[in-house]
Amino acid sequence: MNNRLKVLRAERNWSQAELAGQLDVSRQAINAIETGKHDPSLPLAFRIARLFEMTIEEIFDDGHE
Amino acid sequence: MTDTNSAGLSGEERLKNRRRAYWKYIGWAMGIAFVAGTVGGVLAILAVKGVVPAWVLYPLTGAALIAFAWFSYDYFRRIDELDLLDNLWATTVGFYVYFALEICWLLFNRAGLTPPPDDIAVLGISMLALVLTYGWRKLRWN
Repeated sequence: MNNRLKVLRAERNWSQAELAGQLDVSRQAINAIETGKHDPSLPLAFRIARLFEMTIEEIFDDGHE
Repeated sequence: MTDTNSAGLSGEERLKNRRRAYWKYIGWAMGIAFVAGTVGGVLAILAVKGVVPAWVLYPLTGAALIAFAWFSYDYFRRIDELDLLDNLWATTVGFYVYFALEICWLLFNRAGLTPPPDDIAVLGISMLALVLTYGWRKLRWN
């Protein structure tokens, strides 16, 4: 699944550690999500969306139209 | 490991607190396991020598298993979803290797082709598979 997490994080000038701390997950989890090696659970996807004040669809893209 | 007193802290500070709490928790768990293991070992030796009754080993083992189950549950509750997934992968592969190896070896033994399964060897290979799978997941080769 593609996502805009890295871009959104860069726009706010946040490190992976900063984002990880705000989401209460490990830095490795952020890295794995950004590189597409881990698809976050629905609760974590909602936390990410709330943090960036966006919808889940604006951040994550499953490739379907 | 959610820090309930983290309001106002930056994400990096919260992550540092989280890591500190994690390693403190692991340290305590290792310490308790070491003390319990030492006491259990001494009691087991005393039971074998007949100094204490052998039935002492039953409640001792029961307590150790309950403690292990509780710690495992508590640990999996504290780690994040990625680490939980890594652990699930590792334990699943470890279990499958154990199960497949034991059954195959047993069937070969029943057919008269091999000696009986070596429990230590099967357990060792299963643990190795578990550790390798965890490492493979941690290094993100998936």
